[in-house]
Amino acid sequence: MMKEITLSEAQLAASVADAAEEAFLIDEQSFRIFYDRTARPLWSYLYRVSGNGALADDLMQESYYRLLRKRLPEISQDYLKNYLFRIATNLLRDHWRRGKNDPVWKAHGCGHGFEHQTERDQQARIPSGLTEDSIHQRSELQRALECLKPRERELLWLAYVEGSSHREISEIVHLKEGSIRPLLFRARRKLASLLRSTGVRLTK
Amino acid sequence: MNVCGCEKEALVIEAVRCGTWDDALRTHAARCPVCADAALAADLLRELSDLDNTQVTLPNGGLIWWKAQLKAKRAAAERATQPISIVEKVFCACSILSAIGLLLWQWSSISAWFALLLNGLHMNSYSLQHSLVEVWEKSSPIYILCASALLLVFSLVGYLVWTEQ
Repeated sequence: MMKEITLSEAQLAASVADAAEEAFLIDEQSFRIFYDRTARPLWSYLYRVSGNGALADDLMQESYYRLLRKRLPEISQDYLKNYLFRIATNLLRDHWRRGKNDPVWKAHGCGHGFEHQTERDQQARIPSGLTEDSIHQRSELQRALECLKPRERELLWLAYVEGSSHREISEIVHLKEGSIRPLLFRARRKLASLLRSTGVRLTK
Repeated sequence: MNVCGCEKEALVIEAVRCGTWDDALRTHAARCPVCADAALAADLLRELSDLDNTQVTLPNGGLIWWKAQLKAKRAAAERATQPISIVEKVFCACSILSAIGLLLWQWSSISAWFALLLNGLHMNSYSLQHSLVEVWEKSSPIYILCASALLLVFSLVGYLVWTEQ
């Protein structure tokens, strides 16, 4: 005799089957290792490009989720890391594209993709236990960074903090490899002149 | 050295990132404008990165994994119920369209019913009963069937909307 199935049971069965079909890209153990290695650099990248800690939190989680759902040809750590940064960059741009029509965003954004600073953001900018000179220097550094365009911040961060090659940067920010060098050069010169005008020097 | 770069630029950046300066490189960085800019920019960004590493607390990997799983399951359930909700919407749209069609098609008869009913309302209860009987007698069985079907469809749509909410 055929068993009667209710609609909710059918839905549940279908959803479980779908969920089972959609296994993540890597298992939990590998994910944890990968996360420990990449979460902090990714958060810093998102935060320093957007200037918003809460947004960096959200986009970081979404980036990992999207990466896990991807079917990628390769699962080496370096390849995954670059792909993760690529997803995060796309999410950031989508966020800005949506935000351009939002009056609240317009009111808080400074025109270069930098967003309203929360209390937590302010704390991250000026930590405790620093001398007055260091605090001044760091706030000048931050201000100089805010004056750059989002793409310039992306390029500089990827090149100088992540140590990514021009080919990797071009994949992450969707630009031609050949155009990375002049763009990076201009961004670096702009940042350096902004810093020099405020009297900031090399720390080491 | 060319306009956009210097061959020692990579070494300078690496020195800033890892703190592996030597005297020759330091002298070069002081003289070369490209390397000086690169050193300054890399130094600033490294400092900000160090600041984030020490000041910010992030959720652990387990929590992110669990949230991702939850989200994937929710997305799967949404996809599974999508055909059902589409059928529901199509059914509602068809019902409304058929009701409008029927109203237009039988408008003269329906307006006649209403006229009779309104006449009855203006009179006493006996007359109302009388006019209802008249409506019943004047209507052909097909109209009564259609009206009943409409009522049934509207109740069903109302029920579906209510359960959805």
